Amino acid sequence: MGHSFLWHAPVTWVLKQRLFNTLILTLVSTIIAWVIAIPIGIHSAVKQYSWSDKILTLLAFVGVSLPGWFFGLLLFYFTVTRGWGFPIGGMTSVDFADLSFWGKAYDLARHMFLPVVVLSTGIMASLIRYMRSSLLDVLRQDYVTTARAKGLTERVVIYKHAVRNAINPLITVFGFQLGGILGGAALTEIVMNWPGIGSLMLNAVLGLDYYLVMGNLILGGVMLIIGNLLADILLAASDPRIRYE
Amino acid sequence: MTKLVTEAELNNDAKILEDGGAIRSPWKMAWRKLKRHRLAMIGMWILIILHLFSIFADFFTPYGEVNTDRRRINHPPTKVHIVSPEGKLVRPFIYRYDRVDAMRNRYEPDKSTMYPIRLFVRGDKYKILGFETNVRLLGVDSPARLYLFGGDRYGRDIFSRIAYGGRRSLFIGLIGLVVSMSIGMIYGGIAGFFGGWIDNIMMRVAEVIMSIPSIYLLLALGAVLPASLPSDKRFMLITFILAFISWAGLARVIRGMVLSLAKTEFVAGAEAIGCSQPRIILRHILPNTLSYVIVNATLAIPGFILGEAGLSLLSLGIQHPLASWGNMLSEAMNLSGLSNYPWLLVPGFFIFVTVLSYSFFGDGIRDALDPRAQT
Repeated sequence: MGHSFLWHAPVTWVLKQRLFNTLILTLVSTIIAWVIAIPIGIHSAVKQYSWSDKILTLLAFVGVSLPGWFFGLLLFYFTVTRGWGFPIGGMTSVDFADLSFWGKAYDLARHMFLPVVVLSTGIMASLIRYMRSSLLDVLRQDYVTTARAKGLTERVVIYKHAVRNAINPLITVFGFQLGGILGGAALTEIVMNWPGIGSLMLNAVLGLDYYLVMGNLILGGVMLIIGNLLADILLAASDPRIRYE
Repeated sequence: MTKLVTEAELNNDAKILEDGGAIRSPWKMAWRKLKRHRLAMIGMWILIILHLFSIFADFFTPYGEVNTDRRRINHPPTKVHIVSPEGKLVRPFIYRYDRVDAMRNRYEPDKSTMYPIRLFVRGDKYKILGFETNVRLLGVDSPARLYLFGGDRYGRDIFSRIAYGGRRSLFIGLIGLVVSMSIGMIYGGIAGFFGGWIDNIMMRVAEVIMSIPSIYLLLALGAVLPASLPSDKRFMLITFILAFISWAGLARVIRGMVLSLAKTEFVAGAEAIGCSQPRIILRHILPNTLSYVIVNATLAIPGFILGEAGLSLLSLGIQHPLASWGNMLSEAMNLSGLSNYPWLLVPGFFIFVTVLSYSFFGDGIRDALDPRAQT
């Protein structure tokens, strides 16, 4: 893809270095967000208009509206002034190379904590809303009433019948998230000093490193297409009504 | 002979009488539904207040946008007191703050004199509706300076700059929206109406734009703008950049809707009475996509606001000395600024509240315009 002026190295090599950092950050955030958001979304839909649902829906609104970079700055401010023991920015400590494997993992986890909180909040908030509205749609269907009429327990009705159908639209969302995984974290990375693709792109843009900028754009586009493809495959696997010839 | 009137009909008549006999149009019904959505109404009022606050920034703020005071760098927010030292309730007043430590920018209030906050004072000049005036709503007497939200590193008042910054940060969303909506609607309308190879080529072009992560495209385009550009041109170009990266998604959905609308009978009817094709697209098909477009519009505005804020945050957007909520926050990007002068974060709360209000409002509009939703 050419030679980077700023790094004096091939663009592919530079991108490979940073791609891992961004991927580990976004994948961990995505997994955590899904694991927490899906049960919350189910709870919200099943207990619609209850107090907990109202509070959770409001929190989801707040989470969607809170820009990641601003949340990051707020967390940094509290970390500095309240003395929460998290490192500010960066990905590893100075003595990272000398640590044992578990030491390295612990060090990385400590550095990742704040960015992961920021990123997963954003993903979680939108997921909760998707899951809630999707499950509410399904719960209004006739087959759910039928399942209840058959005398199935509420647990079976919700988890076997409703949730399995409600999750399908979310798989499309998952594909979009996967596609936007490089771009979505860019501003947060820059503000929180995470050495990922986002900050690489900013420096490349400011330093007029054309080949690196182009490489970044292409990489982003490729990721988006892979994400959409993966979503289509997953959707076909989970929904028997969808068949590709 | 007596006519049999059912109870339902009676109720219906009563309802029509209650409404003054008017038949309710779909828009009126939507408005009634929206009024019942409490969060949406709260969001709407917050947005109206914020927009008025920025439009009449000159009047509502104590100082002009570029009014600097180099002796009061990073001034903390002035506390507003209403109880005098003698313990009596008086009109709101402030103390003058003196810099006690020039190295670390520490300020202490000087409690010897009280400076009451005055209304309708004479301050920086400005023009409104062609008249030049200098009457401002708030102000204090000269040696003291009012910093409701603190001051920045040039001694400018953050409260005032937030109001002026809203002129860019808030209105970039509205202007950009109009641009991207018109491109998206016309583009999607043409592609969907003609179909075939025209549709094929047009949609591939849109997909190319959609496939590039918007933040990267934003960064790349923002960096192309030369630094010497005059600020008003820069503002317009940034708006167009934001519109350029966001029209494609809308165009695709509109195209899908038009594709199905083009097969309906009323379009065939319009064709039969000899309407021209542009007229069919503009007058018959696109108005039918309107409710979707309105919902999409309110939910798309935060994207513009956040885009401008992100770009200005990285100093690629609106440039100093003009204010925007994004570039005001860029001072808080370094740790010493952030931990010593936390009031620099205030513009961020304004962005957050604006985006939150738009999502409440957009949510309400979606419920109101969705004919399937029960009330």
